Amino acid sequence: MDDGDISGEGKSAHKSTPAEIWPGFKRGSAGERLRLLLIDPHEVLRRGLRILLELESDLVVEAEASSLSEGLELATALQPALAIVDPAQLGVAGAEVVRRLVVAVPGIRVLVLSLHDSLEQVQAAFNAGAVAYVRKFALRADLLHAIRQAARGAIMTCPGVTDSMLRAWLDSAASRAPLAPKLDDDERRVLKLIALGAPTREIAAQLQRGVKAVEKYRINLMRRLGLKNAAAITQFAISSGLLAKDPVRSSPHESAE
Amino acid sequence: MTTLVVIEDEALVRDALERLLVQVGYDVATAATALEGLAVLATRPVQIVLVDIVLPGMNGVEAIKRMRRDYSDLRIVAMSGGGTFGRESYQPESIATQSYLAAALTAGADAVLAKPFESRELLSALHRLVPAPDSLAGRQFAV
Repeated sequence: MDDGDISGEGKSAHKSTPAEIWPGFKRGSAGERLRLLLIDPHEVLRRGLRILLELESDLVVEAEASSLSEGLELATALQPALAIVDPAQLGVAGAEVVRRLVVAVPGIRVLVLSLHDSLEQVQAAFNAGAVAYVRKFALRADLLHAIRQAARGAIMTCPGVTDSMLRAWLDSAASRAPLAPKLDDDERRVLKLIALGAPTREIAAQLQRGVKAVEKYRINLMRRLGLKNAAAITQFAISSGLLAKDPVRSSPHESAE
Repeated sequence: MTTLVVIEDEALVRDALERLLVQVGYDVATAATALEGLAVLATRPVQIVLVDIVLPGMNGVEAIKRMRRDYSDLRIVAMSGGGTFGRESYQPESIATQSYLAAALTAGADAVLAKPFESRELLSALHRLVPAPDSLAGRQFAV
């Protein structure tokens, strides 16, 4: 910090200080402080972020970098516990920024701090080796929590990113088995037996229904699910998980087997 | 009459601030950039500057450093946040807003305001800095 007087002393004894406005979340003796490296092309934000982070008794910003090359150089020399990086405007894709850092400094932990939070970018960052992804819209408390946990190796995000990830995961799970949950128990059994190649007569016997009723089930199910033939039924049953052990249908006796 | 300069690039915000401050009795000049604001300071006596941080060209923090260097008696209120990025808005408590304001404070701002703020918060901060029109006696520093 060049002229960053955060003590409040200097021009006026009454001047407000960052510590008064944003008291640290962690007070008292901190023992060994977490050594951080900031890599962000935006000088004002970097400067302000350093001030806020250093209000915490357990954090210290060892260095700041405005470019990827400078960041790589400092990370290699200083071996910080955590690099906080906004990959935007660093000249290469975000995931590539993370990858270069983790390759250059084995063991370094990277927290991405970004305005961008599309799932593709979040996933790419994690795949490249990031341990945390926090939005610049997040609260300071969320960033501090993520920093402390990520520095210990936890995978961290912030509210917003977590919400998006969960929504995407739920959508994805639903799209993998779009209709299976809507089938009733008898329909699931019929579908499963057809998929297993059981003849209609056997299915009827198992369900204690007439052959015609089972035929009707089959036709209705194929129409509802848009399945053209037995092979398609089998494929649907596999992709929907119907051929796996069905917890809905399992009796205590079956479960014990 | 206390003279105040508003440096704000968003016309709607600038105009709203000007209307409010004129209404309560300030002599107000406006500027859309930091350089325009500095030009106003060079031409007339000004007691207070209300400056945004994210500005085109020279940013608010750099402007605050220059104003603090050149006008030691000037009272400076920095404001930030409330902007949008895509579908999102900066919230007053966001990392980005607080970082900008922390940078402004250490660059020499006397008070900071996170947007969006209520008019009474702004007026309260201004009154603490310059308690009565045409008087800089008994300064209190606001936040």
